[in-house]
Amino acid sequence: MASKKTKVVDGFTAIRAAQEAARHGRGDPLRPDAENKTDTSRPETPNKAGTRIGKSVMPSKREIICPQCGYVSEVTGKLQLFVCQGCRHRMKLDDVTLPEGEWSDELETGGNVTVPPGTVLKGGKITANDIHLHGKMDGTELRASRRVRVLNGSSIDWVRTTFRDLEIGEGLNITPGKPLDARHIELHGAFCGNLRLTGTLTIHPTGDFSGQVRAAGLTVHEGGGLRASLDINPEHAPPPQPPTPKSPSRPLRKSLTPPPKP
Amino acid sequence: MSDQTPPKSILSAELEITGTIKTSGSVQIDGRVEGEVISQGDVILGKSGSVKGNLNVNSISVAGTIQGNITAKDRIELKSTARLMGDIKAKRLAVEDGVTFIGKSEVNPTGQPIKFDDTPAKQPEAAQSGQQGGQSGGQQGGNPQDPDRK
Repeated sequence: MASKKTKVVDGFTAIRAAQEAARHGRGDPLRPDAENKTDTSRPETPNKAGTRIGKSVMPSKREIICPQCGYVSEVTGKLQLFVCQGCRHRMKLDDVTLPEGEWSDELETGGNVTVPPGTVLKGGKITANDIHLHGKMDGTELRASRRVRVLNGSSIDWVRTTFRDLEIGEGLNITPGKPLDARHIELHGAFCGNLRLTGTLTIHPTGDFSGQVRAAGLTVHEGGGLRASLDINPEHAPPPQPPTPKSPSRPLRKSLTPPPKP
Repeated sequence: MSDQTPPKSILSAELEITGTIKTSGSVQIDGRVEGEVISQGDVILGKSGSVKGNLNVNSISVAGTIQGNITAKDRIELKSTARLMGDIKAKRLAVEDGVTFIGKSEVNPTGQPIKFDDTPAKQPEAAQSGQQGGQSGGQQGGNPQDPDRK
């Protein structure tokens, strides 16, 4: 009997035990008092799909691109600190919302940075995974290792901004004045200029594009405007990188016996 | 019981036509056409279909290959398997990811010209709310490893 007992009780085992107990009408062993309280105190509410007991929810995944080496990692769940597997660069993964007023400081995070409408970026440097720009930009260098979202009411300095993906919000009319190189661009607003993309240009129903575009893909949702010279070819996408060969975990043992002579 | 809609003409995959196709109804093309297609109805170009010539239609759905210009009164739909070498002009456009399209496009659903601000990027404070201008000398986007990236 003693040998059958579980020595380590992990969270999963505890939840399974609670479900098993509930199935047999024994209540929740983790909360023995809960059985008595559930009688009349609460009015019955209809079960929502997301609040069912017994359904496990997978933690959200997010893509983190190292600002130092560009190594792409996938992070599951919440993390406070991130160490790049490519260059061992350490950075926090906090999501930061800048205070209103003038900003001229340095900030680096692997999370998202939101620049609210009342903020003016006067100097310094902001490095983040995603940058959501509602405010004005005047002198600060913005480095988004993944995406920049430019939203209505904002102003952006294209010279000091770097990104991989770009999203232009609804109601904006943008003319960068020089070709933009990026991976994916999503247009909810209007854009006039030249684009060179290794990914897809997506024009949403409220979006409008005029100019020239060279991209690997194009998606136009019905209602989107497109007055452009287009070169859309899946071959413009960068070739997929071959998988790195796995090195054997142990060195191969040489056989001590010589091969038989013919 | 009489059907009010005109019947759809079908050009099957084995069919090869050289010349102009003119129809007041709808047509589905699964074969090869070398010449102009003029239709007051809707045209469906199947995966195996190809047209070498201009198309003048009411609306068209393209899953095959076109070497020529498309002018549609209403709508052009490019499926992911579509290959289009030519210019398009339509009121509405829907494009799926995966198409190959080399040409010019003239699609303006609203019909109103859009005003763009051409102020340079060096004066972002001069840009009005929701409007950006740009004279940029740096390289945007691309590989973050690139040291020249600004």
